[in-house]
Amino acid sequence: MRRFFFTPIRMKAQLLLMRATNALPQEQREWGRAVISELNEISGFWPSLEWIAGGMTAMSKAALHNVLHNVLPNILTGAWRKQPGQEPPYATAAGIGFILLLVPFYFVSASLLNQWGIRWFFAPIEHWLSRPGQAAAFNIISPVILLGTLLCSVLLNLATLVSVVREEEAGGMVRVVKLRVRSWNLAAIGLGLLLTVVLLGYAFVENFGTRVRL
Amino acid sequence: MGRTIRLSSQTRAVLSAFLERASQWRYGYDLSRETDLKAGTLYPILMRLSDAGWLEARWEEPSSPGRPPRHMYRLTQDGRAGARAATKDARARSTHPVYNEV
Repeated sequence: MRRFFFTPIRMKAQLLLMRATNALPQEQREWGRAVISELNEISGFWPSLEWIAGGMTAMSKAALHNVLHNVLPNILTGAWRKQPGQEPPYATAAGIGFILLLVPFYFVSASLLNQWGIRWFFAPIEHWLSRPGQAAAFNIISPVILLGTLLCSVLLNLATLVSVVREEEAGGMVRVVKLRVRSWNLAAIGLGLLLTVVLLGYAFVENFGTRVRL
Repeated sequence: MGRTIRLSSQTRAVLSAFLERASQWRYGYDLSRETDLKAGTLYPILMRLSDAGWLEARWEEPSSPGRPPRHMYRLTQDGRAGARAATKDARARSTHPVYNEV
């Protein structure tokens, strides 16, 4: 009989990890469960942790590969629309949308908190800006990254919610715009638009201040 | 099925481990210990081999109640042929090294 450790903590960790594998694409879940089930054969805290970390890294890479090569092209090209009865990938679009919003959300929150005297979050950005060469690079790169991620998030979620279809009506073909209501996708769009307004507002105030001419 | 496989040194190590007991079902952790590969390296290789049709996988029935099943792997006919060719090729290269650099 091999080493077999069924401690309550290990069992709880395994159950949690098994649940986490549900976030993986269908075809990779089995592999995720395979990694976790092997934990029963491993003794010791660090070897077990190393095994979990390795397995989860492999599964995350596979999931990312799947998102980049299958899910995103599927949403962006509208390929899912061509399959009859296929539901739009709402959850995936919302998930990717919120991940894309992380960077602008951090930047806007850190800047606002900095204005209100909480400087801890803005410190890394300030440190970066304190060097002349890096500040110049930041001024060029940051609008592209911030507005780019915001635009991608909003468009991605709009693509799943809005569709234009041709339908027969009164003997002729008409184009109908359909809008689906999904709370998480709408939340991603709403947050994306809010952050865009704040960023553009800030850029406007910063660059187009009133000049008094006498 | 029938996908080409990138034969890295790690993939060859996994194939060699399978070939040693070609007809037996093997477990992930045992393969990891035998090849000295971490889970993060081993499982992507197993997934690629399985996608290419070189490996078959199944869940083992639990040996005692309450114990979760384990995933097991075995080379297919294609896998055995491919693995033999790959390891033979590696041996030939190590016996007759090709020097590309001066």
